[in-house]
Amino acid sequence: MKRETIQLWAQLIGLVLILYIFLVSIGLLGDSFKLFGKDLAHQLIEMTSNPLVGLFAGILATTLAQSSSTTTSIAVGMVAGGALTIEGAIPVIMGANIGTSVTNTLVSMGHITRKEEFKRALAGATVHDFFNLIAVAILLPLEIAFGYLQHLSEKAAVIFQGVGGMKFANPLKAITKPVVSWLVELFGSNPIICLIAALVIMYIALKFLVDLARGVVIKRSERYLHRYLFGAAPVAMLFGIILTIMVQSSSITTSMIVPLIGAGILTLEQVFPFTLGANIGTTVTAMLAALATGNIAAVTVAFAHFFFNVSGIVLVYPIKAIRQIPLKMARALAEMTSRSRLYAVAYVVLVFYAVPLLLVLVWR
Amino acid sequence: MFKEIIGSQKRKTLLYDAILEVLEMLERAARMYELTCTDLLKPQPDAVNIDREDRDINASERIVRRMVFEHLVLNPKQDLPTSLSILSIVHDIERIGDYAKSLMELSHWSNADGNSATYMDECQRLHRAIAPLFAQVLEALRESDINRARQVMRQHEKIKQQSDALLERIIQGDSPNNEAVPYALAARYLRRISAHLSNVASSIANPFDRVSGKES
Repeated sequence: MKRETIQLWAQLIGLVLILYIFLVSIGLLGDSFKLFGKDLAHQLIEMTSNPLVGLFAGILATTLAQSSSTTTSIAVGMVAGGALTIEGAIPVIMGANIGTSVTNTLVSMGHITRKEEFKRALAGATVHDFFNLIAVAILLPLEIAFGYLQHLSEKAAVIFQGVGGMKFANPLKAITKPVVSWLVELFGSNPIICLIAALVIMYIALKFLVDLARGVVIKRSERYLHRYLFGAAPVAMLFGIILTIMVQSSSITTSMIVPLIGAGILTLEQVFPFTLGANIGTTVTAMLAALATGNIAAVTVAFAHFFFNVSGIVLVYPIKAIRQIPLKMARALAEMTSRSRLYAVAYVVLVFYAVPLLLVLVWR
Repeated sequence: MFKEIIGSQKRKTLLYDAILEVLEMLERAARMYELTCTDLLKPQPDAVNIDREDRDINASERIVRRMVFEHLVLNPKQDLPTSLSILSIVHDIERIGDYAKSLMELSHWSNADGNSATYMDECQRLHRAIAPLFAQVLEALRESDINRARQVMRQHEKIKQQSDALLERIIQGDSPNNEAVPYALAARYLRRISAHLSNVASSIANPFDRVSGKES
């Protein structure tokens, strides 16, 4: 067997192992919240009863962890452990969507010393931010008023259960449960230690999962990227979905195209559908986490994540005039940075860190 | 360096596609050269084909640049010298296309019925000396054949001397300007085509920092 083939197999086995560890961490997270008892659950539920707190907590947690998968997986684990309601989890997931777009914006900062290149790169990166902000601005009020995502997700979860989807989840739970139980026992059923261990394991597992998936997938995807990213919008969107599912991180897939936009090889119009596809692709992580819990409420949250992103696309993308809004906003911000690059820094600090932190503290 | 990438059938990267495009570009340049120089300095019936080939070469250069850039963005640590060499090679091939086109244009402007038959013969000799270099460079690229690449570079040194000698004779000769200028330009263009072929060959034979330089 060739060295390259052996290496590929080793990477694939590594991926499966890390995925298993990630699913164990979700199980441990759910169990640790159960161990905390009802008091903490009530407190947390009360805290997130204000959807805006949930939203900004989601933004903040994701920008700090630089991973929406971590935030959505925690939300799923908390729902499974009874520490968060579906209603409270939805704004958190919306916040995670906004927070995850900080990574490619930070990547665009790498071009900051070259004015024109930076303008293009920043516009390419922030079109993702603005789309997510617009989607939340439309869908969060709708959700607060009508609970539309929750109802839709609950219906989808019921159908999923009806067609035997949860039976598919059973083996996932069955293979992780013994290790989760062993870990709980190992930590003396101490909820704090279990929670810390779950978060640490989850963070490390996700990091390795993404790094390894990137190593396996990105190296092999360059020809497809060349072929599909320059093609029709639906093809680019589908490519964004598939690539993000394989890499398990929209931050990676949206960040890797920033230098191509900076160099002027890709236009905003070309990357936009790809970015939207990445938004959908990233929902798979929460779904995997939810299936590992075997909890229907957790699966509902994962569906909410999916429907939120699909709804955003359906609302914004089909009509040209609306589709142009995030593109124009991204270009306007990029234009401002040509006067002073401090605008870009101020944008990142305010939108992703300062404002969410302030509002969480005020409304808590 | 190309051989390993072309030979790696299982692991086809964008660089693999870029190399195939480079080889196609060189074949196209060879066709242009052949069309242009079959009857040097006589109006050519295949001007349209040459124009089309030149446009295709220019388009290919852009495609290759894009492929190499995308490859380096996604796999920055992989095949860096090869990637940079490819960028240098496509530039040389694009220049060959331009000089071949210039030769064709020269044939439209020149007075072929003059009394400079000797110069014509010498230009034809230069043309015949350069023509096989295309196949040799292609082979050297495909097989990463350093010896063949060095042969091309040595051959270019000879062509360079012949071209310079011809140019000197044209300048010192007594042909009227309207006859001498086209032959002088043709001698120069042929020398440049040979030089760019030598540059391409040098990407196989020389270390990266001496690509486009003399044999090391």
